[in-house]
Amino acid sequence: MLGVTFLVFALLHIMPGDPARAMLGPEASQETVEALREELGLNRPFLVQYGSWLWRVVQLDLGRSVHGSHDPVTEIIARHWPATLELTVVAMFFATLFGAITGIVSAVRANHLVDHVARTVTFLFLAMPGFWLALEMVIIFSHHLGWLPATRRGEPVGSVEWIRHMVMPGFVLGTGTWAFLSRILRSSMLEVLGADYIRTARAKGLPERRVVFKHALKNALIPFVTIAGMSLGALLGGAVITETVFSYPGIGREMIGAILARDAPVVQGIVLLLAGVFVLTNLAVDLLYMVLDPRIRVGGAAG
Amino acid sequence: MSERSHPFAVFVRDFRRNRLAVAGLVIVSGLVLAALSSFVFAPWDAVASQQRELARSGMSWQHPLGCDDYGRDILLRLLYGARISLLVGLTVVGIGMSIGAVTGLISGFFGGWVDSVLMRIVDIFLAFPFFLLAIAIAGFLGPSLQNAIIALGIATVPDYARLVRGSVLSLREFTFVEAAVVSGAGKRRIMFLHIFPNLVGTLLVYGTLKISTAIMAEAGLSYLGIGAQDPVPTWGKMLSEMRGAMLFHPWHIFAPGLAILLTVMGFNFLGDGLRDLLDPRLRKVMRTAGAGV
Repeated sequence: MLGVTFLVFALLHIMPGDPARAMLGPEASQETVEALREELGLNRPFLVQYGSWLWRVVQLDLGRSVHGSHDPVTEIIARHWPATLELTVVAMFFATLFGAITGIVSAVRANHLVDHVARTVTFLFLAMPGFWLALEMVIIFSHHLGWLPATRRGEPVGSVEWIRHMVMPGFVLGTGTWAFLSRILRSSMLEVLGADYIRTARAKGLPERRVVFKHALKNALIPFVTIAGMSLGALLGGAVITETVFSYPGIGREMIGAILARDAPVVQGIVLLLAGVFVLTNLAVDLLYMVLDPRIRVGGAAG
Repeated sequence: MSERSHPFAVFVRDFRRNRLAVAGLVIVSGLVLAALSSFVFAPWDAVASQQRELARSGMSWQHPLGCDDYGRDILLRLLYGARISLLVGLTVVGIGMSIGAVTGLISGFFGGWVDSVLMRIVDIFLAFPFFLLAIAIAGFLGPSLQNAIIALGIATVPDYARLVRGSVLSLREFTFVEAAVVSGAGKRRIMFLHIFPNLVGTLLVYGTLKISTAIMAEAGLSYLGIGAQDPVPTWGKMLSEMRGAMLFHPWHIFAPGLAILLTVMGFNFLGDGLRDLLDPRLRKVMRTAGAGV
């Protein structure tokens, strides 16, 4: 995590343009810019700057936006993060639920019609750019049918309006992960279903339903859970685009705005937050992994 | 005794039997043809110059797919976009693979503190979701197609480093490496002449799969406005430019999207097919995956 903060900070330094100049505007004189650089500590050595920045980050002070309101970055994040979190959770829920359903059905009915359809559809969704899918859905569902709103977020959370605003972004963001998870589960299910202990379970005369759900699924779920956890990163990255397409007031859209406006502290804060969330989820997945598979213990899970 | 065929002939025969690989090759060939034809039919002037009187016009004989907001022919821009997409896919994979493979090779071969240091650096990069890292780097470098390519290349380095390191670790244990050591071969010689050739197949498969990720991610960056800038016609950029007219001419945004879809699918098919042919053991490590875009 310390390395992460360093990389985030180093990236800021590569960013072209002078933050002091950006804050004061092009009309400011060279002396005022220099004075502000001095005040902001921009003339100090790189590592010293990094140290003091890190110290402030630990105290949850991410600096202020260099544009417009000069709002503290933490405030901007607090304002937009819940929306992104909701969107990501909805997409994740959709992806895992449907991924599990199509994956299992596909494996149990391997090489039947259902399987072929599921595999074709998942291949299509894997190759489909989310923003394109989003635009096509807006054309169909918002403009032609008028069923769903094309932009913004509905409030309060959990209301009908909220759900109506969430359906399309949640679906679009989740499709890639859904398709990926479905394919993973199918192949791990097929592998497990061919194992000896499954044959034993069947030979014992257990009902097929019990064999599939109790015996096979338990082992086949391990890669599924790992990949689902790792997919969170893809979802957080994808949320940036999804939010932009749907003008959804989340943190990703805020970040793009900040990048285009060269608002370094905001970009830095958001990237740091998202990377932190990603690292923590990966940690959580590792722990969950140990619960699911008792063979893996802390010592063996290193690496 | 059966007649022995040349290994390449065997490969060609197996390839032709693999429907997935053939389908991929057909699509990718189509893309290459489109890219090549852009040199003939779509000179820079035609894709960049604006003709206001044609703005947002529909389909016609002169402009089969119509024109965009600035009166530029969409079909020609699509063809030019094929050239760019191919360039993006190859250069991104080239950057990521060359840096990543060397890192992984050194890390896996030398082990010890070299390995620890390199892998910690890789871990730092892996702490960022791929697309987010690409956005961050591209954003910091400033929006342009070239920077997007660099950003995507850097963002994929850790994947190759990890993959190559793992393969090197297992290859190192083989007897042929031991034999080379015993016969007095130098470290560099063993690394590049004995171990590296065994990685070519793996890298070829992985690289092919990664081309699709690169193309998709570049489209995403360009759509967001932090990739290619006007008037460069990349598919992602075109999608974002033509949103305004999408209700009057749904086809205008359908076409570039379809182009991306087909291209990504083509490379996925080809990569999957090659993987099954060259090294089926890789199934576990490499799977077709979207870029999360």
